[in-house]
Amino acid sequence: MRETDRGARLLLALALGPFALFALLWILHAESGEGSGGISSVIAVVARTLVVAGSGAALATVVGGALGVLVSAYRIPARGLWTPLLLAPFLLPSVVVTTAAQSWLAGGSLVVLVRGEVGAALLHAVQLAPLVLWGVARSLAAVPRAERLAMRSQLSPGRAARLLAARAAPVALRLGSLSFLLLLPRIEIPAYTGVETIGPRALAAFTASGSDLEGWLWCTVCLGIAAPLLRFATATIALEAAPASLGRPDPLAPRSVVATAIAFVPALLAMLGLGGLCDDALEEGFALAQSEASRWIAALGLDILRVVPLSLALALVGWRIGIGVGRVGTALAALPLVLPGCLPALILLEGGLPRLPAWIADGTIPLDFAQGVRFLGVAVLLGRIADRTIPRAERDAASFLSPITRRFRVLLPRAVGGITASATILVVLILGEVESASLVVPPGRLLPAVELHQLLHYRYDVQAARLSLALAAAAGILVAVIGRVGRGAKGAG
Amino acid sequence: MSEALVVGRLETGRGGFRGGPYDLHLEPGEASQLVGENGCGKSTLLETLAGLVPAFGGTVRLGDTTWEGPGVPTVAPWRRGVGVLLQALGLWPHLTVRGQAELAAPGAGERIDDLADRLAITALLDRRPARLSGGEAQRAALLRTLAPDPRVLLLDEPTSAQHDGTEALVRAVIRGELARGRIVVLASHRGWPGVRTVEMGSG
Amino acid sequence: MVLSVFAVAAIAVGCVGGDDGPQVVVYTSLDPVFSREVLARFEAETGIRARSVFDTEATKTTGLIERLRRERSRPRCDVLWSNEPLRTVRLAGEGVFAPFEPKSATGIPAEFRDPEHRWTGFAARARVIAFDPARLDRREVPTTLEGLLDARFRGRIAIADPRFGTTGSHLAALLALWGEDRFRRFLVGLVENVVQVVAGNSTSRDRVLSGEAILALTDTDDVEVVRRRGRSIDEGFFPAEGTLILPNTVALVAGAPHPDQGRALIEFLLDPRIEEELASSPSRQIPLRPDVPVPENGLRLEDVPRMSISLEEAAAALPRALEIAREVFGL
Repeated sequence: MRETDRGARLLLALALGPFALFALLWILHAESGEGSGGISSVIAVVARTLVVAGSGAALATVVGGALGVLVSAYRIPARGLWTPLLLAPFLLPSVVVTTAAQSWLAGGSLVVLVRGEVGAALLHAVQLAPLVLWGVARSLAAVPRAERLAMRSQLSPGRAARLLAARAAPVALRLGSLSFLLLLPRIEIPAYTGVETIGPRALAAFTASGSDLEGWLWCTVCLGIAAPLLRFATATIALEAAPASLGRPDPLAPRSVVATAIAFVPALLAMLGLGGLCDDALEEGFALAQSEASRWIAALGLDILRVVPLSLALALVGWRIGIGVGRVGTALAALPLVLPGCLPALILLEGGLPRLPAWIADGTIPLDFAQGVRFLGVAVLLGRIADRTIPRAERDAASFLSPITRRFRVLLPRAVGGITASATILVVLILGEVESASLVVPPGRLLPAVELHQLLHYRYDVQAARLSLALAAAAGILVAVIGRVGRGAKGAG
Repeated sequence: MSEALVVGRLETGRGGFRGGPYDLHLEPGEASQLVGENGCGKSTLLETLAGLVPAFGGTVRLGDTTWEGPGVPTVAPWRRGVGVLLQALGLWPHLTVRGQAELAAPGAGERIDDLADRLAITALLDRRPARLSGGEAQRAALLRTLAPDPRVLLLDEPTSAQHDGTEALVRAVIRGELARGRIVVLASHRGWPGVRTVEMGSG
Repeated sequence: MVLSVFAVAAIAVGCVGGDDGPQVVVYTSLDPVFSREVLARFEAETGIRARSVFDTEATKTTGLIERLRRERSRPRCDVLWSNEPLRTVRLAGEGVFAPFEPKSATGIPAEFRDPEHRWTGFAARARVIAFDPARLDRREVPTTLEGLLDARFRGRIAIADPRFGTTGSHLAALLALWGEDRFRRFLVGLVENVVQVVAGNSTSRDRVLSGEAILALTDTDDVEVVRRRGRSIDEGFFPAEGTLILPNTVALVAGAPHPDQGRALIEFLLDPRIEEELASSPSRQIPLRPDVPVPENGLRLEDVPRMSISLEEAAAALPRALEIAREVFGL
């Protein structure tokens, strides 16, 4: 109770402090003549960001949550086939989802769905709804059997689904707020839909217009907006009402890895085909695709070797921070999530990198570090959710063990399912990351996400489609593999 | 100074509920039974004594050590040397019955075997909680509670899931602990002849 | 313990690819579909491994420029191969490059070379106006930039975000050419004509392909790569104020870790063969040397009515042009 009060006050300070600082700095900034568009432009950008990220996250929560309840409440056949299709928008980099949707819809009367604020919000929702869907389905898979039977025998299917929705709400809302935090500093979808939000503005400040001061001002705005939500996302309330653990068998994890690989191909082809990406399969494209294929496979393989251990380590560190440092520490660790994605890489370039020995600076460690810092917040928030959904009695019973035994013999094994889920999500996020990648990627290293950007620039759609397919299939297979490992590690519990 | 458990003007509460002030004085080998209607605060008082729920006021001492008191840092549950049987049991699903007991009491293999025998769960030692019946699970949780040989036992409805035969076993084990000089505070709807009763209604 | 295992694994993976054999580090904003082949041949001919870093479209060129600028205290890059010249010129002014006079640069006109030899231009692109000939007759395509302000095109013109890439360069050249009053009037006119500001030049071209825009300001290569694949798109120049020519630039980084290999790469890139190759590639670059052969569907320097502004003048105007653009577009 006392810790919570202190935490609340600190978070309030976190929320209000930046705004005051921002106002002050902005005035100084405007006086120095560097400001652009004045305060009204700033307010417009902030408002637009709030609308786009807020409605995107809200829509993702509602749609993803509803789909999650549906797949949990009803038995739906051929799950292996449509699951990849549902998850694909999250597994694919934003640039692919956006380009596919835009080349499909931009020519017709539905163009409003992929342009401007509406388009940005919708595309954000399309990308993040699978995240909410997955989390909700996982948490509902843990509803005790007795409770399920009681629901089935005493309630109509509709009422049972409503009851499940209420049970899933805490997890859905937290994943919804995580979605908002992820969307706040985003660049790609706003840029491709033509909406000026905080992300592109901050990136331009740090790179193109060369005004770090303005970049930092935007960072403080992001913090100010995100702080109250971080407070919510890290709150323990209501989560205890969530059923058991996220660590139960993943309802969406297909039975076998091979089946996933096979199912991904038609599912993604269907999606990319709809997006019109395969319509110019010309000889030139195919010839290029043949010569590039081996390089991509090598690049993808090498990147997966880098990203999987990084994600697992990050998920573990995130879990440890999430259970050990209280809400304020959690919120602080989660802060980089809401800052412009290029920032950790820029700070590294500016500060640490020149001082590091060459063998470190020339490897992928700076990249791992920049991406790790950027997404640590995801690991912390998901780690905390994984921990908070362990039933209270089990946690209480563990209170009589020494802290180390409690953490590593009881809480860790009980959270393994949630931690592996978090690792999987991190794999997807890091594989698709480009903002810090282009700043600290070691020379000569090919990153699949960066490659995709370049292919789509000249509309080498066939190659882009193939590479996205490989990327999403790899991510999908990792979802299945990590899910199985998580289940195996958890034992028969 | 004796190793008595002394509770003075202890105020507890959780959510909207407030209870107390409570006073207790139990010497080693003494037991106290909390009785009262559902929701009168028996479990909350036990959990406060265990350190799971913060106290609002008053003191709790065991011998020379103050667990709760004004101006004194609260002693963490795992440093109090208490054994707690929660009403919800809180068995860890990833560990076998033996695994749970050994985690609570490393190196206490003999005591675990002996207690398991007395609680008639020797055959269940290698099972995980999912494969236990309600009564078996309760005895398994009691085994985990008793394995570290705690000085104070806080037992919430220790026989609620037992039938006549196994209830007698449980009672015998608890009385055995009392005879070894342990302090027992239990909440129960069933009578415990010879145990001092604390009525918990108005506080 | 678990964490240390992961850390060791991450470091092991992180250290794959050591410093074996001679190598050169090149930062390039030319798309890998074109630059990779050139670099592969450089590797084959010289035995020097070329380790490249590419840029992404959303931050076209500016990401690499920023990286170079921030790495100045300990450069990791040997050669910058940029397809946007003004930021190279500006970096030269900041002391990022070392002077080097490549022998293979013979024949490249002086206007595309730094008098102090800190950078050299080669194979260029041009800023053009893209349109769909199926939707708009060529005769109706404006021949001056100010023609874009015509009410006929209201809401149907796309330009890329001026803060990044060659759109910013174009605006800088216009500011240098026109002066601030006319420049500002032009931008205000664009805003009043409801211009679509989009992510990049390729997005701007895609708006023409999708029919959302009638006209798009973009680069010659963006138009050509999709035209060669059968898309209905064409380009127009600006005979009145002149078309901005944007050469690739190559520069040796001051304090480069592998200066000799860097010089070798620069010599290689400035060879007339490379200009010829880029001229016949789908990016259809314009050779700066008059004697380099150009394929039938290619572009020569003399085909393009050129803007009479030097790269240095345009580069000097860049910050002010971006400032005005951000103010007018509310970016």
